[in-house]
Amino acid sequence: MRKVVWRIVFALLLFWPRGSSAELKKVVSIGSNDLNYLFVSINDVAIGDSGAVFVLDSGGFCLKKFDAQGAFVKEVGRQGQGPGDFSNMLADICIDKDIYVHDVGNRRIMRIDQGLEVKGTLRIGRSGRYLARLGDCFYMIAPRAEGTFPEIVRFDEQGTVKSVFFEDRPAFMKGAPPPRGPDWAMWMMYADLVMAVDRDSQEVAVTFRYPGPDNEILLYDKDGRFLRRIKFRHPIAYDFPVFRLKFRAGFPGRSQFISFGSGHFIAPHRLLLEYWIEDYESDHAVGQQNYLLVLDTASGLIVHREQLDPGIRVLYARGDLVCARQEDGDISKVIIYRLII
Amino acid sequence: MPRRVMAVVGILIVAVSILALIGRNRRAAKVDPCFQDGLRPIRVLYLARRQSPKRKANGGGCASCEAQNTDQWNALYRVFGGREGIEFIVILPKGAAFPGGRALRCDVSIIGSDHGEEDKVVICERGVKRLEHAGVMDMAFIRKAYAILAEIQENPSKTSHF
Repeated sequence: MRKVVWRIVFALLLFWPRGSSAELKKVVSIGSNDLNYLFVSINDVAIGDSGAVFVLDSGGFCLKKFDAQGAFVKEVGRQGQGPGDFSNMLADICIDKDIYVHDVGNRRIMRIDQGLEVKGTLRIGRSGRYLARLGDCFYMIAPRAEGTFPEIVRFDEQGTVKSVFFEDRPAFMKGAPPPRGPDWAMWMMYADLVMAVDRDSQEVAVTFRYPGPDNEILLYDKDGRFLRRIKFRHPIAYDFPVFRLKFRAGFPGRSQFISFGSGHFIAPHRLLLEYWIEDYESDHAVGQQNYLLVLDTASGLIVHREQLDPGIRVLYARGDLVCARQEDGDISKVIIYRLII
Repeated sequence: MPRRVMAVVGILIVAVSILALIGRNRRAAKVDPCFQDGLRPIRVLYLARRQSPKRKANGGGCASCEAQNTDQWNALYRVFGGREGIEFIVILPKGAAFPGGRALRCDVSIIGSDHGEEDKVVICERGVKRLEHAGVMDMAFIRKAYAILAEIQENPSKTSHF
């Protein structure tokens, strides 16, 4: 009897899950070749207060609404420049009480309520990406008027720029002036940023899309004042492969490449990051590992790490819901997962 | 003498046949927005593409609009392709290539030497244009095309193979 008990205890010790156990459970899948569920090119997703799902289809020039169970409700938009029209350069959407569609081609932000009625437009003088909203201000990653490195632009509902911030640059670009010629385009690309806003703490988190030897998250208040920097190491020994900064990069036999896909605040001080590790043989990607990291921006600690299918691209996350784009054969889908940490 | 006559007649018959074949191929190559042949179903979608990219006059779009339309064309194929009686035909100017080497899904490609200058989708029924759209395609157009094809399919007496 004693032997049986010890065998049971040993088995439990061996197989008991270690660390934080978590689950990514599929909740809803939206997408098919049925017209109402057809997506030509999914750009962005947001979830409304009632659980409604809003999908920005830049290829279809439309914004579609589905209920929390994934049933089609309504669609708005067509190609053009008039009210309710979209250009073929739609960047992204952000949501609070209303939905704000960032239409780069028409140089405007369109405000649409959650019933998909167009409420107004805001002309913007600068192009950019990663539209976000805190209070009554918008934030956007935008190229500087002169120079290589991007900055964060904060502007009000009249389109007036209130502040610009973020002067930093990746570690592998410090101490050297940007090159001229074709290499400059590579510097521009690898200086890219990822941004997320925390509506609860009213903070803006910015990181370099292509990190150096450490991952760095820089936190700012809503006015753009620097608050603090968080650093955390990669799970592998890594530094940015600087040969990529050359337009005609000479790839070695094998290399690795790390990048952040996106960032989203899912709870106060809880930043969810898409973290990708790619393996290269010469200039061909031969393997990829995708992770979801949850960083506590108050303590600076990673509180959760989960490996994902490489085909999943996270577009939006809030609370315990993660919205991703996935290709199922030739059908583009929006999949909503519940992340239980 | 009769042998010579027969030889000449034979040569003439061969020559006329060759000329007739060349003429038919030329007619097939000429882009006809309601192109038909006796072997094809009568409900078809035609797509045509610009010969050379042009920036939109209003400047509101981008120079790569044609590349953008590739997603829409493939989306159309996903909706309409494979349905009974619907054939998806793409008409391209000679030598046309898609940017980035992306493939366009279609059932038949017809290479034409002269065609309109805009991206164009045409839905034909029995040689008659039911819908024509030029320029960048959006969901609003895809819904319109679907409605017409659904209407055609609801009236089977008007449609038949020949």
